[in-house]
Formats: sequence, C-alpha cells, structure tokens
Amino acid sequence: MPIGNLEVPVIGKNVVIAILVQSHILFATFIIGAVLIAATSEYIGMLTKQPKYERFARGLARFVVLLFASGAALAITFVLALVTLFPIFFTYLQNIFFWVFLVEAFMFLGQIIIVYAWYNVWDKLAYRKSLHVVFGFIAGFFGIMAMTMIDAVASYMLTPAAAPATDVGRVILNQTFIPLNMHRFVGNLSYVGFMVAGWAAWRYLHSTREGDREYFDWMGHWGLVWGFGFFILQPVIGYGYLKSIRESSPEAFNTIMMGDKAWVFNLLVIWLAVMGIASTAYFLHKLRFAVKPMPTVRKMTMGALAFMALFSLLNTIPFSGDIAPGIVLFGGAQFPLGTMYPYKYIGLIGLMLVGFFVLGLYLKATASGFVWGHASRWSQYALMSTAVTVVLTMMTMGYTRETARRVENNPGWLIYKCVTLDQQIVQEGCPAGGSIK
Amino acid sequence: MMDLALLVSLPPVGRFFLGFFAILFIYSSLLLFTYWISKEE
Repeated sequence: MPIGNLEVPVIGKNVVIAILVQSHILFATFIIGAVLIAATSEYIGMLTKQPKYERFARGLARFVVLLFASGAALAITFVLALVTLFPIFFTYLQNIFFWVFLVEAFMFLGQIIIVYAWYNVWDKLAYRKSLHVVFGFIAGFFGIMAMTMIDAVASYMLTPAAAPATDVGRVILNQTFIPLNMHRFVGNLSYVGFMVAGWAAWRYLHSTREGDREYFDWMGHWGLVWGFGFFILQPVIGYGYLKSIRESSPEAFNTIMMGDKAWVFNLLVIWLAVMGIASTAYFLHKLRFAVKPMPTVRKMTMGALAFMALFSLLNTIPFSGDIAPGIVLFGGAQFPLGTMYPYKYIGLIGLMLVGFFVLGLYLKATASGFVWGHASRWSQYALMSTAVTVVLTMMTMGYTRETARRVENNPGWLIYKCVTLDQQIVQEGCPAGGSIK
Repeated sequence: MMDLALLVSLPPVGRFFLGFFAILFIYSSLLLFTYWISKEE
C-alpha cells in the first residue's frame, strides 16, 4: 500500500512538528535538569543537615513526577505526528539510528522507573540517605543518556558525518554532536535554575507565614545560583557549537547568522540581556541582607551591573536597519557597533567575564550568609523575569537550530544535503554519499 | 480562518510567532495543570 502524503491545512506540517517537539523539549529538559538539581540539593542537605535543602529536593522531585505525564504525552504525540506526516523520513531515521533509538528507549524506561522509585522511597530510605541520593543521580544519569541519544539524531540532521550511514560510531559522533550535547546539558541546569527562581519568587510574594517567606526567599537565591552560574558558561559553549556548525555546514551557519534568519539571534541577545541584567540586579539587592555587611563587595557589584548593562546593550545592536524580512528601519542602513567582529565578541566575552566576577562576589557573600525573608518585591519580579525569558530563549534557540537547515528553502533539508523537506533523497553532495537509500 | 491564513502567509516572521504562541500556550497550560494537581489543599 503506498504511503499517503498528508498535508496540514493553513499552518503546514512543519509547524505541527515544531510545536509538538518544542513543547516536549521544554518538559523533558526541565525533568532532566530538575532531577540533577534536586539530587544535588538532597546530597547537600545530607552533608550540611540543613532541612531547607531536603524540603526543596523533595518538593522538586514531587513536581518532576507529576510533570512526567505531560512530557511523555507530548513525546508520544510528537512521534505519532512524525510517523504520520513524515513516514518516509521516519523510515530513514529508523534505519540510520536503530541502535540510538533502542538505547534511547531503554534510557527513557530506566528514567521513568528510577524517578518514580526515587520519589516513592523517600521516607523508606530516610535512614539510608546515601543510597537514596544515589537513586536521584542514577535517575539523572538516565535522563542525560536519553538526551544524549536524541542529540545524536538532532546533530546528525544538521551536520551528517562524512561516512556511510551504517557506520554507527561516526553517525553518533558527528561534527556537532559533542558541542550540542554540552550546550544542552549546561542549558538544562540553567533553565531549571531560572525556573525554580521564578517559581520561588511567585510563592514568596504570595506567602504570609514568616517561615515560608524565609524558605522561598532562599529558594529564589538557590535557583538563581544554578540558573546564572550555568548561564554564564553558555556564550563560550554556544560559540563552540556555532563554530562547529560553520566548519561542517557553512551555508547553514550563514543562514542563521547572516541570512534571512539572522533576526532570531537579535531576539536571542535581548533575552540574554534581560537574564544577565535581572540576575545581577538581584545579586546587588541581596547583598544588602548579607549577615556580615560588605560595602566594598556591594560597590563592585554595582559597577558590575553597569558593565553587564553595557555589554548587553552592545550585543543587542543589530547589524543594520534591515531587522527582519519585511521590517526595515532607517532605510536598512548599517548601524555603528553592529558587526559581529569585533563588537559582538566583545559583548559576549564581556558578559561572561562580568558574570563570573559578579557570581564570585555573590558566592563570597553567600559563604557568610544572608538574612532571609526580607527581599523586596522588585527583586522577586527580577527573578520571575528570568524564568520567563529563559523559556523564550529556549524556544528561540530551538527555532534557530532547526531553521538552519532551511538555507533559503532551496530546497530546505530534513537531513542536511541528504534528505529534502519533501522527503526526497539527494545523493549528490550528501556527506554520507549513497549510503542513505 | 482567513485572517489566520493571512498571518501564516507572511513567512517567516508570521509563522514563527504563530508557533511561538502555540508552544507557550501548550507549555503554560500543562504547567498550570500540573501545579493544580500538585496542590495539597
């Protein structure tokens, strides 16, 4: 029986897949990052005997267990949509990535079993805490491995290895696999950190009991340390990832950096600016509540905030008035300080260095402690803004990477230079040669 | 429906934001749902 070619009216089938995958990723990455952060927090609670870590870890684990249903439901819906809308392409994927999908399935299974076991034996293993913490880290490991397998597929679609598609090792270890995996691993932790901070801020503003206010104030700080700490690693890891795309698929790189899709990068740096400035402003505010007053550290953080704003502003200046297709300002004239080299490099490196500096100062103050429960409303709004913008960042980045294969839609690829958007095989110029058939 | 068709006929920005808001809607709905089922009272 021939396979039908289904079309989705109005929005098209590509958008259907994009919506389902991106929604799923927002849940899946949250679960992976949250399990690792919760397990680490539980371990710190075990070492320091501070009950707030235990309360935090258990609450986050509970939320993960409940969230799993939504993430898994979206995953199944996505696979169903892929099989239905792109049946030929799915067949190629299944052939190329048989072992990857097999391992992925078992990692997913392992993750489900261990995450649920981890949460359910919390009381049972109360006196064998080390073992319980190990449960959490094993659940995190399974999640990371599942993500790694999917990253092999996603990276191959953009940068297929110059080797036969039957060479499993080369297919998995394609040119952008490791940078993508690093980028996403760090991103997961940062994303969850910011989300935790935003959630804690919301709960803080709605809490009336003194104990709860102290706890949620601390939780906002704890989330932000994770979120911002991993966030400032991303410019250098992201640069490495982009560099690997440029080396393997220069046209794809040009599409997202200089072509019709360059505007998504302008959007991205706006989100980075919000997260960087809001986090630094929060740190500055929090230093007012340091148990041991630190006026010098506070002044230096104030200077860091100014530099953070300056570098962020530099990053947001677009190359020209031709902002996006159909949006032209100032007659499309080139803007001063808008070029990638050297200004955006200065901006991104500056953002990272200031980030490390301010985090170092803040952690120094953290070591002597804070008075919790007295944070201002606006500091909590700053935390909430980071939670919102980190979601927008992930969506923008997801779109950017997937759209890199479009290359002016002429023809647009499912596997770069090998399988077109309309599921046709192209052997000429395909790095895998004639092995995809 | 016609307006929607017009919106998505403005690639890529129109389609981008259509998908963008659809994802935000699905994500926030499911997060709120999870929050609601997790509330103990």
